[in-house]
Amino acid sequence: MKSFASRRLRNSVLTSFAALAVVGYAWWSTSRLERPAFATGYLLLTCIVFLALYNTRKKLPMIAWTTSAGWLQAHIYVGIFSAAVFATHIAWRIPRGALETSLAALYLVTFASGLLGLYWTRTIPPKLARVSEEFLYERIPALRSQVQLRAQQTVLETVRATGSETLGNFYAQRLQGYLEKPRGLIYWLRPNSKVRKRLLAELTEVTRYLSEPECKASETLFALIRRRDDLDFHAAMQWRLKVWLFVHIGLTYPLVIVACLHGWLAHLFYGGAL
Amino acid sequence: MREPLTLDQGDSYERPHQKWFCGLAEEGPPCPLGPGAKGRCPQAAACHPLRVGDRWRCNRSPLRGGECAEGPTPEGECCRRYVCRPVRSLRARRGRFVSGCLLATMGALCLLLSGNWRNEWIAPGQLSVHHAQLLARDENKTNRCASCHAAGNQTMREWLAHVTDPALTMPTQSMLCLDCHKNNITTEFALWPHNIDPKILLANSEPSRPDPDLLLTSHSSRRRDPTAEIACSTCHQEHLGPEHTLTAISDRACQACHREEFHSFATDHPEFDRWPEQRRTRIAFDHTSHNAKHFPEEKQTFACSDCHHQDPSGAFQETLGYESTCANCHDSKIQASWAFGIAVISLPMLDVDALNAAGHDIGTWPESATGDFDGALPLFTKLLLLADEQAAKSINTLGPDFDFYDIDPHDSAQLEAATTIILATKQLIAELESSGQPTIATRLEKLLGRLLTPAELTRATAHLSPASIEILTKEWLAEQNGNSNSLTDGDAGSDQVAAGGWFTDPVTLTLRYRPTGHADVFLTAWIDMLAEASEGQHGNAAENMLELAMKPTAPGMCGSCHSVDRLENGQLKVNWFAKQPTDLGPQFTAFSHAPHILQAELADCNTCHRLDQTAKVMNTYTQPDPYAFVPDFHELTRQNCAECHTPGAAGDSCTQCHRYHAAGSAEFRWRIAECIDPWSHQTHGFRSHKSHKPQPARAHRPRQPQEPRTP
Repeated sequence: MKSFASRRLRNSVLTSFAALAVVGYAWWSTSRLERPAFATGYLLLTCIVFLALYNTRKKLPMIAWTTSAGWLQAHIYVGIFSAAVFATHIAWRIPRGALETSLAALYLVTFASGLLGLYWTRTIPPKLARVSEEFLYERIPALRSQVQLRAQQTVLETVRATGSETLGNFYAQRLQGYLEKPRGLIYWLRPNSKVRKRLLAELTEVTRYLSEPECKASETLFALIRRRDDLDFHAAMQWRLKVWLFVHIGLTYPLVIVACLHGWLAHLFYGGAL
Repeated sequence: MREPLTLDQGDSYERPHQKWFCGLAEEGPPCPLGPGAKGRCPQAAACHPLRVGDRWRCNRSPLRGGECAEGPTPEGECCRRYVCRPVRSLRARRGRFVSGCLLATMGALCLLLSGNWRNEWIAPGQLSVHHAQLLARDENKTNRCASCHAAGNQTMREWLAHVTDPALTMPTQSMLCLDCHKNNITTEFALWPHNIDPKILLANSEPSRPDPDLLLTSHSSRRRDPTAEIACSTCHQEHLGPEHTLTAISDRACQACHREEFHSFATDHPEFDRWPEQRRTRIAFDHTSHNAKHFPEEKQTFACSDCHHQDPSGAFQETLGYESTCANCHDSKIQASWAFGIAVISLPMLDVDALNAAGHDIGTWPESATGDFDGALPLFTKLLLLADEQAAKSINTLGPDFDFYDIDPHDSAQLEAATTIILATKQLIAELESSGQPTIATRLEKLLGRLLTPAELTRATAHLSPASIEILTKEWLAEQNGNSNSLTDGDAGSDQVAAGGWFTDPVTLTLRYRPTGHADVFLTAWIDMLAEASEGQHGNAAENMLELAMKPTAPGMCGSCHSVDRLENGQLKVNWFAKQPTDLGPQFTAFSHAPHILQAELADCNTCHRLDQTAKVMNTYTQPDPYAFVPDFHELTRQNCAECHTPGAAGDSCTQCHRYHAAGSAEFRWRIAECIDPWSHQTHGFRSHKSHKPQPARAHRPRQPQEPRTP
C-alpha cells in the first residue's frame, strides 16, 4: 500500500503535468492562429461537472465508482487542475462583461471556498483531537445544558451544606452568565481561551476564602469551566467545518448553469468566424 | 493536577442524514421516537402504562428515569408526553440553501435573458473606441450586437432553433465585418492570408521552389497551413475595452505562417533588399553630378529641402514641382528646343517626276515641295497615318523613322510605299478640312482601341482651328498654288505665338505647334498616346516614334528627365511626375519619415541617405526596365534601423514596419499578381528576404500574350 506522501506526490505531479499540457496546448493553438477557448472551455465545464458529481454521488449510487476517499482525492486534484484550465481559458486576463465577470466570480469563490475547506479539514481535526474529549456537533447543545445544570447543582448543594455564600456569590456573579449564554460572534470566528483563563484565575483567587467543602466543589467548577470551554471550541470549529460547504455547494450548481449558458452563448455569437 | 470531569454524553445515536431532530435535544435527552419524516413531533408518551388489575401502572424504562412519581391517568394514559418543535438538521438546511441558490440563479437568468438589457448583460466586454463610436450611438445601440453577430437580434426561440437550423448562424462574423470594410478589402479575397491568392503569395515567399503545387503542401514546418483562410476576428479581437487597439497584432501571430522565426529584429531579421529604393527614380536625376558639378557652377547650395518636402501626412517626402526646382536652370534650354515650333503636318519634298515615271500619281503637289526626295513626316502625322491600314503597311516598309531623303528613286517598292504615304497624308488633310478635330479623335481611337475622353481630345488637338487646315488644302495643295496669306517667315510665326499655339510655315509647308511651356498638354498628350500605342497592333512603330519623341534633342527635351518604363503588359509609360505617395498603393513594408526626422541626429537627410559618388545613375535610363537600375544612394541596412529599433527603445515588432492588409484593395492585388511571375520566379519589388545578393539587371522580358485575369 502506498503511503499518503507518495500518493500525494504522484497525484501532484500528474496534476501539474496535466495543467502544463493544457497551458502548452493553448500556447500552441494560439500560435497557429486558432482559438483554444472552445477546447479549454469544454474541458473546464467537464471538470466542473465532475467536481459537482462529488456531492451527487450519494444520491446517485450508479456513479459511486470508488470510495468516498477516492472521490475526495479526485475532487481535490481535479479542482486544482481546473484552476489552471480556468486561467488558460480566460487567457490570464480579468473578464470584462457582466456575464463573464459573474461566471468568473462564481468559479473563483467556489474554488476559494474549496481551498479553504481543504485547509480547514486538514488543520481543524488535529486541533480538536488535542481537546480532552470528542463531541458530536449535534450533541453539544445538550452537553452545554448538562454542564450548566451540573454546576448549578454543585453550587447549591455546597451552599446548603456549608451555609457559606462565598462560592454561591461567585457563581451567581461570574459563572452563571458564562455557562448559560452562548458565546459571541467573535469567538465563533476566532476561538480563544481568554475567558476560560480569566474565569479559572478568578476562581483560583476565590479559593483561599473557601472552606474545605467549598474547595471540593470549586474543583468541580474548575472542571466544568474547562469542559464548557472545550464544548464551545468544538462547536466553533465544527461549525467551520460544516458552514464552508454551504458556500461551496451552494455556488456549485449556479456555476454549472451559468457555465452552460456561457458556452451556449459562445457558440451562438461565434457565428462561424469564416 | 486536576482530573478532567467526564460526563455521560448519553446513548442516543445521531443520524446526520436525518432531516429533522428532536427539539428537546437542545436541552437534554431527546425523545425516544424523534420527529416524523415531515418534521412533525409525534408527541409521544414517556411510556405505555400497564394495567394491573383495575389500576394502571407506569412502565417507563429505567434508562429514562424509571417509574414516574405521578403515574398514569385514570384513563390509563401516560401523564408525561415529549412535546417539542423539531429542528431541521444542518444537512437539510444546507440542502434547502443549495436549492434556493439554484432557483435564484435560474430565476435571475430568466429575467436577464428576457429583458431589454439582455445584450448588454451577455456582452463579454466593452467595444473598442473604433467600433463603439459607430455602434454605440443612440440610433444603433439597440442593434449593435447584430452588426457583428447574426444572433445579436434573434429571439430566445431562434437561439434554440440554431440546433436544427444552421442557416440562422449566417451571415458569418467575417461577412458582417466586410459589410462595412468592403471598401478597403475586397470581399472575395478578404480571408486569404494577406488578401492574396496563396499560390502567388507562396511563390513570392519561396521563389526557389520549382513546383507551384508543392508550395501548397509545403507547410509542414509552419505552425499553420498558410493556404487556410483566416477569419477577421482571429487577429482583431473585440470586447477588450475602449483602450484596446484592434490593429495591435503580436509577433507570434505573424510567425504562425512565416517559416522564419525572428526573435529579434537586430539579430534575426533578414538583411534589407534594395531598401528604400526598389526601382529607379521616375525623374532621371543624377544627385551626384548636381551636387558636385552643376550646383557649384551656378553658385547654388545643393540642399535636400530645396526639392523635397514632407507631405501633409508626414509619412512621405514629396518632390517639389518643376517650376520651383528645375526651371531656374533648365527652362531656357527647353524653350529654345521648340523655338521654331513642332511640326505636326508637313508636306515633304517629293521627286514627282520619279513617281510619275514609276506610274504613281499623287495628284496635285505644291511646286515648292517638288524636287529631290527630302524631309520627314512629323511624328503626329505618322501616328495618325497608322490608323490607315495601307499607310501603316507602307510606314512599316520604309521603317517607322523613315525620312523621304532615304528613298531610292529607283526602288519601285519604296516609291510605291512613299506614294501610299503621300496619298494617305493628303487624305488625312482632306478629312481634317472636312471633319476637323473629330478626324483626330477617330484615328486615335482606332489606333488605341478605345474611346477618347473629351479632355483627352482637347489636349490632343490643342484647339486646332479649321483655318489652319484650310491653308494646307486651299493654298498649298490647291491646283493653282497661289501666294500664301500666311506668314512667310517661320521665325516670325513662332514668335507671334510665343505663348503657345498653331502657325503655318509656308517655306517648309508645315503646320506647326508652339508649346505653351513645360508640361505642355498637347505635347504630353501625344507622347502619352504614343506610349499607349506601343502595346497595340502597331506597337513597334509607336515605340520607335516614342523613342524619337523622347530623344534628348527632341523638342521639349522631355526624354532628358522623364523616364520611360515598360509595364508588365509590354506597354510603355512615360513618368511625368516624381514618386507620389499613392504610386505604389499599399505595401507590405511601410515607413514614415515624420517620427524619424524628429530625432536630432536623423534630421539631416544624409544620415540615412548617403550619396554613392561612383554610381552611374544615368546609364540606367537607357533601357525601359525600371527595376534594373543603379541607385545613387547607398542602400540602408538593417543595422541602420536596429540601432534604435530594439524592444526597449523604438520597438521591433513585426507590424511596426510590415502591414498585413497590404494587398487589401483589388487594384493592389492585381498589381502584385502582375509583378510576381510565380512560375518563372521573377519578382518586381516584392523580393524574398533571402535573396540578399545583388540582382543582375534584367533584360526586357519578351512580350507574352496576356492570360485572362482570373483569381
